[in-house]
Amino acid sequence: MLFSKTPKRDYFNPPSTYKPWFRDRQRAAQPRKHRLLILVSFLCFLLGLMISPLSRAESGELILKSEDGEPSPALLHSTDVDLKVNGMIAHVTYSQKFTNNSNKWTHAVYTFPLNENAAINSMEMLIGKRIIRGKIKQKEEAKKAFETAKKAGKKASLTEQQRPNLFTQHVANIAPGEDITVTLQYIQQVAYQNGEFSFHLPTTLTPRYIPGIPTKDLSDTVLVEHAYAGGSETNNANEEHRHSENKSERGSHSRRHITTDNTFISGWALPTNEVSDADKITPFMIDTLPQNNLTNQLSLTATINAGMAINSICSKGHQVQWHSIDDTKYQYRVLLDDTQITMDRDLWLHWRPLNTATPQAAYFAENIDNNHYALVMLTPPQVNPKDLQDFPRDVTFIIDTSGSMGGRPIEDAKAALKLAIERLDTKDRFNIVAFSSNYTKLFSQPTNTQPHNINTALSFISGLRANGGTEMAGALHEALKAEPQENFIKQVVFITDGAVGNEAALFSLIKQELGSARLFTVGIGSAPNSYFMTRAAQFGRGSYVFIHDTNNIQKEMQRLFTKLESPVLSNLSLILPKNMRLNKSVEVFPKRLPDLYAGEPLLINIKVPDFDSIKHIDNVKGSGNNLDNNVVLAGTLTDTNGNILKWQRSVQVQYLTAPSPNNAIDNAVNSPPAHSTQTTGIATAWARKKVAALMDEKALGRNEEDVEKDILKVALPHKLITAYTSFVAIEETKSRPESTNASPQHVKNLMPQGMQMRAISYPQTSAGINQHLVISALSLFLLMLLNMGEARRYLFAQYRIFKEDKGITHNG
Amino acid sequence: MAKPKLLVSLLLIVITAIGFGNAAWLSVKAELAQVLIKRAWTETLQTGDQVRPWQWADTWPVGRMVHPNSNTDLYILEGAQGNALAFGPGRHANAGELGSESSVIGGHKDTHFAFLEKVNVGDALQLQTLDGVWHPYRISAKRIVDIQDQDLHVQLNQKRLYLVTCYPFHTISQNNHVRLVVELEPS
Repeated sequence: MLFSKTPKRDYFNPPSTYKPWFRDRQRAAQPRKHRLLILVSFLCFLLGLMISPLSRAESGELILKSEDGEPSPALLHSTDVDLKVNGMIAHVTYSQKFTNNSNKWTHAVYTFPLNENAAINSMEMLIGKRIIRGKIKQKEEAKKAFETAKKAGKKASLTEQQRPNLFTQHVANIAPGEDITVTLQYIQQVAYQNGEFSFHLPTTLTPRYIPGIPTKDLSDTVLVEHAYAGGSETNNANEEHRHSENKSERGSHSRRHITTDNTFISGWALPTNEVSDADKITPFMIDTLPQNNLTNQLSLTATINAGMAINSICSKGHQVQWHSIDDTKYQYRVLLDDTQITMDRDLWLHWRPLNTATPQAAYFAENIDNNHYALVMLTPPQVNPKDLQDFPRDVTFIIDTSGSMGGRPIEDAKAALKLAIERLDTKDRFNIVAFSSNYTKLFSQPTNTQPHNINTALSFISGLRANGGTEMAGALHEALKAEPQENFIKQVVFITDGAVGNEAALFSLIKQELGSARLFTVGIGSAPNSYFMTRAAQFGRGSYVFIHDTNNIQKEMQRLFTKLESPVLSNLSLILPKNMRLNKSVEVFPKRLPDLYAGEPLLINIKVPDFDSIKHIDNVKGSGNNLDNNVVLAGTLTDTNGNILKWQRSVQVQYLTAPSPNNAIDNAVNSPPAHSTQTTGIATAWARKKVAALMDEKALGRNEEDVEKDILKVALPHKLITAYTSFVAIEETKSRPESTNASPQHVKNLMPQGMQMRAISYPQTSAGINQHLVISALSLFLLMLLNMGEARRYLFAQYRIFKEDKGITHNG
Repeated sequence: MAKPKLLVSLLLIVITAIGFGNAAWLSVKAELAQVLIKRAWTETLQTGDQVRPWQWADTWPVGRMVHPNSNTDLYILEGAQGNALAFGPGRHANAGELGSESSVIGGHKDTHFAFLEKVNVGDALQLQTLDGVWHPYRISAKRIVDIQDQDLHVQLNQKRLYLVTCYPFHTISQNNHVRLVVELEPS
């Protein structure tokens, strides 16, 4: 019964093999049309689907991200800082929380700033309630371990140093909707100047200018995601390749190396011949927009145990509250007024002891594994500059007018410079060098301070505009090379945001060309490169100030003037106690004592190995010998009459043999020994100073391999992140299924407040002509398909007519 | 059975017509408007006012750009939105002023900015601003960027010029997230 009726047509075995081309169509017509109709309808449906996006985005419409209710970023980030200050050492617990807000597996990359003295010595990854401890490893080894874990689908995190004040955090395999927190612990020496302690926490960075010629050319590159990514290994090869290439050949790229591995890439700049890691120090930036308040938020809690009564605690850019903690002596809690602050400017905390308690000398110590570490602070005597002999000065001001200074920074810089010019003494001479991509000198030679010269200078300053690159080397060279006249003290005041990527090269230039001059830096902006500021001043044997706010220009410049105008405390000598002097392996940093300026203390980090043997000597010689148990700082001053006065400061060494809880800081000069307790972090601070000293040697031309070896010897036992060591934490189990993929997401830094840089959303730049053409061609094809019969007949008819025509013409 | 077939055929005819019509219209619009914009620009240079190329236009010319190597001569309109880009390359309103600050100009890859496919690093380009001054620029870089996760960062005060168009040039899909950024520096 099922097959009582034969099918109308056997599709697979057509009954007739003969099929005339254009006749006899009735037999197969009906079912064929059905099929064709269904097929065409289906294709029409697909066509409709294709057209539908067109109707939504009318041709060539610009979809402004900010206007169209931009979906929140796929990766959210917030930082929590717990600060505990103990004397001169700040212990910071720095927790970064990464939240994957998307429905895909994600790897996070975040390039973040810290203070240039931060010594990171612990890293932990927190996944839910599981804690995975990070291990310190050599940089390459850590990277390899992290990469392997990442590919295998294990959760992992890696913290690397790019610059002493710039680090990169990688977190692999964050599940959709998951939080991963990475907690770093670091030690930072608190700064002390003019009787005020301060703690500095950068939260974002000013985009750095990258000088040099790109060693990778990406024009006409077919895009792979972030095509300008590249491993550092290929950089050198490329560099050589590039050097041998003519500039005119830039269009041809037969031998370009582009690594598909874009994991370790996080920047907008390409490596150049001067900055080979440019892409790693130029993280993506975004403007601070109202809708961005979901991400880049920071919360802070702070406890300050200054060891003395505090008069005030303040922060210049933020509102803070503080109170003393009950039942404790000299302990204070600081809270921000806002629970969350936007990470668009540096955070500074300043605290000032009561006048009666201003410390003059202090000795902090820590004993680890039979080694004795100490941090010694000695304050030179306060002198009135007027009582001292002064020399006329020859001051060259360098002002940075590069693009990154645009907006409020350049206005602040100009205001500061005007203050300095007006302040010059009649005996002094001065000049101004303004630079961006090139530099201009105001006068060809340093000029006297006649009113007309001052007026010329002031109008020159008013005309300065921030524009162009940050080519510091030329301007520095120009300012340093000019020889001062006899009896003039040469000073260079450098006003900049320090936003450059070639710091080390500049330090070396400063060191080589300094001569008898002194270099002072004035940091401008909400997030200046403080590493460059402080280190340039150190190499320039000068000092530095930061102007982070328009309101404190006056105050900070005043501080600078005091330093510029008071004579330097030079001819300093440091005398260690005899038992330390005898021990050859005692290491003291800084190795060479710096010049001291008004209000600055001398801070020295000491390591005494084999501490037991010293104690032994000490005991043999008798404990009563207190005189030779002091660290002594001595120096000279010249008064107005030319008399040389000697002065000295000292503090007693405390070996912590009998720890007793007491005041850590001595109030009086040469006061009787105050037993300090074990202060944790002193050893780490010493190790950090040693690493910095070794890196300075490298900047000045010491062989990198030797430096690396020496740094590894310090960094690995002290668990310090350095240029050659990184922290890596890897979970044992695999969590990402092998079938899914994870994509890298960059956490963007906020543009520093007041900066004139804009993030422009890309316009929609296709009119969609191709799309229209394709759609019409497709529908035309479908039309033909549907009306195949008619079309065939029509075409055939046309063909016949054509043939007939041809025949006619031939015949005729 | 004839009726559905007829309907579908008609539908397809309509789609074909609209598709070709649109493509033609977009190209013709882009070309024809140039005449009107040119007139408006001449008047702007003489009077210094904003002159709308036609009465109901919501954009007006703010500059002119010449790329001699490809014989390109374009008038730059205000705003990099669809309405302006259909008639000519547009200056992004959020970025800086032409000539004096860093500015961003967007253009359609298939009409006005099709010439960007063939420009080379080092090419000269002239830009005329509202005051009639010609500013010489030179192409310093060509970059291809993925816009899904980022914006274009410009330093307003660097006097750069960024030409932005879709990439790659010959694809069908319109919601593309890859852009070609041509960066120019004053020369």
